[in-house]
Amino acid sequence: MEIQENTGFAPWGDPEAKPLIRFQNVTKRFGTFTAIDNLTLDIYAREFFALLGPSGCGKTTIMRMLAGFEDPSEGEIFLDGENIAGVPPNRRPVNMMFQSYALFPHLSVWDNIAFGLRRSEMARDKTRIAARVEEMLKLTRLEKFARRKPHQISGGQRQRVALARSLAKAPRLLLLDEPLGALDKKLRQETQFELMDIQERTGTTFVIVTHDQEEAMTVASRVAVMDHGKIVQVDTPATIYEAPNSVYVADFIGEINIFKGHASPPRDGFCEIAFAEGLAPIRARAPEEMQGEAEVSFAIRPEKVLIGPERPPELPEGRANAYRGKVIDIAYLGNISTYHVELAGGQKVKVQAANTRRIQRRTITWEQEVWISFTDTAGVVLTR
Amino acid sequence: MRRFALIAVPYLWLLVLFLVPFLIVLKISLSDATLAIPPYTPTLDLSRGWQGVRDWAAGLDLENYWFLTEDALYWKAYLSSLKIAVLSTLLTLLVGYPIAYGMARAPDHWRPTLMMLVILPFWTSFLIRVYSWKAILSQEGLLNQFLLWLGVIHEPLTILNTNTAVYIGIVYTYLPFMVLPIYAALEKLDESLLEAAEDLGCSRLSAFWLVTVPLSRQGIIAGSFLVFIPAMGEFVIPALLGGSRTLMIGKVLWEEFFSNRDWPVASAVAVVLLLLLIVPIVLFQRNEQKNREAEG
Repeated sequence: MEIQENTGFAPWGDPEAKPLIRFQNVTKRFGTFTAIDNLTLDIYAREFFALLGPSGCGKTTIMRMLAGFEDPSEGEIFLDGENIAGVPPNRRPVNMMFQSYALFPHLSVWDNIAFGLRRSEMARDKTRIAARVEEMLKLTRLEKFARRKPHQISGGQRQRVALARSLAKAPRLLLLDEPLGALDKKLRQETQFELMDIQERTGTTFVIVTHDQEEAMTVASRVAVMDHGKIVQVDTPATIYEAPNSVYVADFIGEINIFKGHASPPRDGFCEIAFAEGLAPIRARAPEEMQGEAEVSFAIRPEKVLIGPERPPELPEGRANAYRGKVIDIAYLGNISTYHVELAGGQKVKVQAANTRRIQRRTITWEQEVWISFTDTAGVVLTR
Repeated sequence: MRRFALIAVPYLWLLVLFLVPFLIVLKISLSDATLAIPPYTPTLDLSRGWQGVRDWAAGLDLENYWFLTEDALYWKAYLSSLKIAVLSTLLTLLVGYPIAYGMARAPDHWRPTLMMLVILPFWTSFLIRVYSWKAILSQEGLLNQFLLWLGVIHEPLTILNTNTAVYIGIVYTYLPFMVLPIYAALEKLDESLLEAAEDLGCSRLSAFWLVTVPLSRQGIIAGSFLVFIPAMGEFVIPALLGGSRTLMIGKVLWEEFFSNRDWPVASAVAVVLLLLLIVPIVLFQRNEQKNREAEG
């Protein structure tokens, strides 16, 4: 299933499109440890591609192989159709923004940005270098800090210097290793939009490594969710969120309720999942690959579950799932509240509802008997 | 009050062990040599009161300093010391930098051992270590025997009692003083800076010149001063390993003092040496200060 978004930019869906980067059966081992396990992946020009996963999942290794600091143990990596194995980092049209920024402490902001240009074919042309540095300073709004040393500016400014320096040589591909990890939350959110804006204006292909799913969802055109050296799912943020292909992805991205149960054979594209004795089975859309009965996980996002003091009226088609439960906890987050509801069988369900009324007038409170409900298309049935 | 007492202790230490001896040497350098005990005149006779002080002060003059400029031996000795100190500092840097670099790049669990190996020679007396070089460098020494056995040379080389032996001695003795500050600077160096340099188009070698060397500059400067300053006044190494033609100010000083028993001239030599060394010492202090500011 693919969730449609109206951005118009989707080269991965076009069989004619040539990828900028192609990983073909790439394996990378460090001693006996396999960091990347038989990876095949295409990344297209102008994409903002996010590698998302917990630490140690191999996402940084992919980035270091693209930069040229590591070579694959097996398989090939193509850039513009050319195998780049063995090409040293200084000869690749690829630049990297390091997690620690790696700004040269002995050079000013200006000289840091000019560093790469002075080692390029532009080296002799001082006026062109100056023009390019000024352009980068303007792009990252650093004009005032050009003469300062890295230790004389703030963390957010340092982050922008690192970005300007890695963009200065106009690389075909820019790698960003946890670029916003060192910033506080508010600055991080602002910078995310700045990054997207700069990516769009320069037309550079960005590959970002992050463990922050919100960041990946915000900035990326496509997200690859990784686990133990393998890519579990590559899709647009919306597809990853709404139609995860496995419990791992569903659980990694955002909050989710998982009901483990036994699914009946699908009929008319729907199946019924028995998850607790004495409770009605969940009616849900069956995945295409499901044939007969199966042990499955039903996954549904907290905001797609409704909560109320009364049993909701049946939908016209009679396709709603409704259960009685008791509120055991309420987390008030300001704009929304998360209700922890325990069903009769002991299954706990998180429900999110927008606080459209002032808190004093809230109708649901602790220990209250409530009804939760969701339609038969609100969740996904996962077979792995 | 307690703070004052705390500061007073090191200052008292400096006053008693540095300033007072220096003033005594300065005073002797302004006196005249004589055959007596002590071998200089005038001596301060406080029993004669104010008159005694006035007579003593009237007897002081700069004659010994003028003498240093008249005899070419002295400025030649100063110059030769300067040359030997500068050259051996450079040699120590050339030998020490790769050692420090190797130590800083070694795996973590190796570093304490390597550090130990650098410091280990300090556990043996400096004098014995320099003396043992005689056994290595002499005509029948280990080095000549080894080279003859290899067939590289057919006649034993004359190394002992030449300036070459002095250079070898100084480089050997002061190597740890060069290695340790450079190692301290290189160890702090963030590996990702070198990767960033390569990523931006540097070869390994140019990354070394453009990143590693500038960022270890403070260590290089500190190490060089730590070698240069004692090498300038070095006496034991030229006395044991150098020949009669090795001219160093430390040796001249020793001869004036013990062979000629001319305490005033010897003192004048010492005072001039100290004045010459104040320049690099002040520069060294400034470097250290800058270091601390950059880190703070």
